[in-house]
Amino acid sequence: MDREELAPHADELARVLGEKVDKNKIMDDLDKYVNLYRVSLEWAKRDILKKMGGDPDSVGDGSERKNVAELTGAEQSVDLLVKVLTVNPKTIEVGGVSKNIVYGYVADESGRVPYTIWETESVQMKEGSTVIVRNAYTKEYKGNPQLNLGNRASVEESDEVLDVADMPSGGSAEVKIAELTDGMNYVIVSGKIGRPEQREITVSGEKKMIVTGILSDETGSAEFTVWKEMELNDGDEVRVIGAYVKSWRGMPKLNLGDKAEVQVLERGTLGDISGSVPKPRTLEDVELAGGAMDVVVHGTLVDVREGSGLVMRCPDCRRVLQKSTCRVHGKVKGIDDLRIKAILDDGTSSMSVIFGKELTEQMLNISIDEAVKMTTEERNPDAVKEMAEEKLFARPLEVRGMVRSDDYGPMLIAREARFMEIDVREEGAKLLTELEGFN
Amino acid sequence: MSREVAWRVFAAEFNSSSLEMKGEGEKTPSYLISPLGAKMNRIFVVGVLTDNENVGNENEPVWRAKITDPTGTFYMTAGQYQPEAAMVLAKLQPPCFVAVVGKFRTYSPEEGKLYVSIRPERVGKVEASVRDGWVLETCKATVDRISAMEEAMKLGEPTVEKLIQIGSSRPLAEGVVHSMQHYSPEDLSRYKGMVSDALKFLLPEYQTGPDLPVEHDIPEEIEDDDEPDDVDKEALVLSMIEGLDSGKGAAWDEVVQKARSQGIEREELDAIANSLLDKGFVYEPVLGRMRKI
Repeated sequence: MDREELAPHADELARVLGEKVDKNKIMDDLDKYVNLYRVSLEWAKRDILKKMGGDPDSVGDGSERKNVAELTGAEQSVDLLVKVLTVNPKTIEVGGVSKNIVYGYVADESGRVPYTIWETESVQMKEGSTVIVRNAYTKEYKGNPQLNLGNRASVEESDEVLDVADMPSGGSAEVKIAELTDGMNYVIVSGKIGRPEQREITVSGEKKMIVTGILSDETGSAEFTVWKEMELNDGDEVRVIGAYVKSWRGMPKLNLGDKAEVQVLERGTLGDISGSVPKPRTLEDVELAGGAMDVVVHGTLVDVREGSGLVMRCPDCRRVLQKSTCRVHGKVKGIDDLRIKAILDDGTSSMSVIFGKELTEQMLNISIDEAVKMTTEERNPDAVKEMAEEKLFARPLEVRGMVRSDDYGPMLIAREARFMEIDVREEGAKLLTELEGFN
Repeated sequence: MSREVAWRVFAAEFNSSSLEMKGEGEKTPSYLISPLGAKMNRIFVVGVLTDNENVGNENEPVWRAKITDPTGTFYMTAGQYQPEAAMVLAKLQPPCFVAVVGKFRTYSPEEGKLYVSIRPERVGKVEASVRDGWVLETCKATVDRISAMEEAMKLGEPTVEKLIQIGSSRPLAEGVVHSMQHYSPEDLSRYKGMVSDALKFLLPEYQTGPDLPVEHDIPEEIEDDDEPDDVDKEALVLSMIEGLDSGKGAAWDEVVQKARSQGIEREELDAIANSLLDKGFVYEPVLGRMRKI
């Protein structure tokens, strides 16, 4: 970049700094930064301003400089100075092609925000580093802003020290249990304690007391572990501050380390959660979370898989027998069992689902004895599977259960299931009214 | 590799799709992009099985079936590679309600023409309530796509990221961007009208008689044409099909050309042809050909 091209930028800096600085000095500096040190023009301008006592934010490219607390979720282009709290690489499926993304949290003194890097080739961040993020955009998810670094975004390391370790707890947004995802840090979440249990464990030769249990809110439940001694009672309503999330088989679990704080709330603060059913979530949402301890989904059963129906299990290890033979225990006298392996699809995503004996009996309206009898009489080992296809295929179901992920993707292990009865007239009339407004 | 989601689409939207994105390599799936941006590999359909015929032979059956919904007709073929679906179809007597999960398949007789049909993975007989539930669900899904298209049109040059930011799912955002590049600006009011009609189909206050075969009326309502005029045009198209038939059925492209020369545009012709198919005046011996019955 020659001096002629730099001239208007030097003029701009001179204008911002007032007439207190020699324009030739600015020009020399700018030339040095850009041509000798190869600093980007914009960055050079900021540095010069700062060095000469001006406000670096007064020059820019149209991208707005904000702090985290100011994010609204509607920024088209925003710059932030933040500390990188967590960096989690993840591979996602985009139209059948796997794509690497990175997600985590960044924070400044005003608060923290989840981020996603969509172009991992061009944009990288190191955990614990302080960076200037440029040309990011935000969107809103469940009322909270999320920071996205797309192909326009860039990241530069900064020497500035941000005091985010002692970040005020009010500065970061509280999340719901259904929003917990692997790798989250500094989590604030409220819920009701279930089945608390004091346990003694041995950590590097020393005995230590921990507490495990389940935390539930209206969106779901998650197992938690408090890695120190703490008095918690069944039914306590608490606000947890500073927990972190680690997933086990896709199911997010809360961990309360030394820095975590638990505030016991007055009972009733959270309303009646006990015995309540979590709000239905989309399969896409559950799949992105990787798993859930307690979830309700609505979907259509679009396939009944091989291995469904009447099966024989090994009396020793419960493995399903192939031709009366257990993979481990050889030829054994098997025990009859019923199960359905199927695919549920709600139009946003699809997921494997397993119904055990009780649910299979309930949905097919057949007892296991009747199933055995039918299979024998029809001399058809697939008689129950065919019945399941006939009675379940294409039917909309509400299923509650646990979702775990493994190499084959997420799987829903059903605990409750029912056929959904949809009031098409009421819902249809509602949609028609909306649509006529929309015309 | 995660399983492809089953899109809920009406026949009218599915059959209007003319953009196929072929997957490169063996493991990458192909997609059919609808005018409303559905990025389909798999679809889920419930409707009335109106026609079901073995066009193969006893040993190697090939079942060809038609399934109507409130907006039009899906065409489906199940042969030796769809043994389970073919077995179910062999036992079904039309008319009855059926549900189908399957993948799209395309037939392109010449450059720039694309006919779509369903290759079923699973077919099952269902009750009327399942069909009604599907119509409602598909109305909702279609409205979501219409909204995404409207947002995209407002943006002018939409990108996938921007659409996701506004609230689309990633597959839909991708489909919408592809759709806008391929299709000439779509008249969304036509699809809104289609959804309204499909909803009215569910609501008793809009039904004039208990046995009203609503499928027949929908295309005419979409076109907003006068009733008597339509009947004349149907007769005209029927005679065209008969005239162009040299024994194997009239080639659809020729019908399109002939109709155009008589002042019947493509959309209207589609509606007339659907109506003729529904009324049983014509059938399709093979995809892309029509014969008078």
